[in-house]
Amino acid sequence: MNPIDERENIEQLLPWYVNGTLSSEEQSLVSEWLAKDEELKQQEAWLRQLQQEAKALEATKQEQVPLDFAWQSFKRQLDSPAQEKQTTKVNWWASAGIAACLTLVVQLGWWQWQQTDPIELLSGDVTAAYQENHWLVQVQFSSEASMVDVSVALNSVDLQIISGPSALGLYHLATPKNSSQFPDTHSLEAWLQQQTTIEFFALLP
Amino acid sequence: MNSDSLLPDIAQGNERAMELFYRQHAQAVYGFVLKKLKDSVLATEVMNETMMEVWKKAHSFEGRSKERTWLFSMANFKAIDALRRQKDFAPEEDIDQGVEDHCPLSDAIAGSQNRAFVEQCLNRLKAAQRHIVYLTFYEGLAYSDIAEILSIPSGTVKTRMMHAKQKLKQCLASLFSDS
Repeated sequence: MNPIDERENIEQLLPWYVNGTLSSEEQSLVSEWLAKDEELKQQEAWLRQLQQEAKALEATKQEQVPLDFAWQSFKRQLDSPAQEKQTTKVNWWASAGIAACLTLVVQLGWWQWQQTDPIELLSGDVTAAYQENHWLVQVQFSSEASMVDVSVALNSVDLQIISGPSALGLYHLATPKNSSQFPDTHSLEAWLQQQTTIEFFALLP
Repeated sequence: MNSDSLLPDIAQGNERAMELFYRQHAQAVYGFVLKKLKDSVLATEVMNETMMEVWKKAHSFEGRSKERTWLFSMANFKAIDALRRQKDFAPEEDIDQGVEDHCPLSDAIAGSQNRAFVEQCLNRLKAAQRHIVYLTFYEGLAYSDIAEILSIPSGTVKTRMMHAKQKLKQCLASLFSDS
């Protein structure tokens, strides 16, 4: 390999030199070049910064999967091995459809009361729009709870559904931070704990 | 095969082993497919479909690749299937077009100190380039593993990373000079 091609090859290997996954042979080759080529050395430093920033970015913005609930949902599929895959899928979508209808009905009722713009509620990153002035909660409603139960519970306080259900049946709820009922997260938490219609909840940061 | 691998037990139908495996890897699989699908509901569904494949195919894992490479490779196929099921699925455009690398590296380095700029520039990359940056710098995978996961030659992984790097440098330098 001529020196120009070899340098290009080294340059291509740099990202994996930085993440530490090169073979020992490749690693020593790159190290040799870095010792004698200032521009490659600068690139290495830049890539290390990029790696650090990319990791920090992912760590802060990565959506967390609620593992317990995701596992329970998966386990239900595991426990019905006799079912054909297609059947499982149809049931899954049927449940999701029912859940979606439930949300829509609850949301429509709430919109009428709150006079909120439905377009805003249906927009993509809904939680972001509420983050500044609202406490946000992720919940799963009890499978025993009816639409009326959920509606009554939410209507009794200043809580509204802003998105959901996810594939795991999770919803995002929001309540204003200046609400008289929930002046802080403790009061909100206490209320959520008392609700029989709510099977699981987690306050979002 | 890794001596701590749970796959042999999963292959025997051990649900507890499956649960441990699920808890170890579900978040990573979700993060990976979410990058491709941009839809948390679909990503959750694909994550569970991938885990179901693990349950069904654990016996076929021979340890020729790393466990996580095998897992991500299945997740990649499931995500592509999910995208194909979408009505608006369009094949990825040619992402191997390079860009001229004419920005001073020092500016790009200075620019990269701003996390918001880095995020903005990463988002401007083509999806296929962004996946490689993600798998390299966040998942810490080797280029050969990335090639296996994405079913592309190792040379293509390196070329895409090279182009991603050039674009990022250019983008960061431009944002930095505008600020």
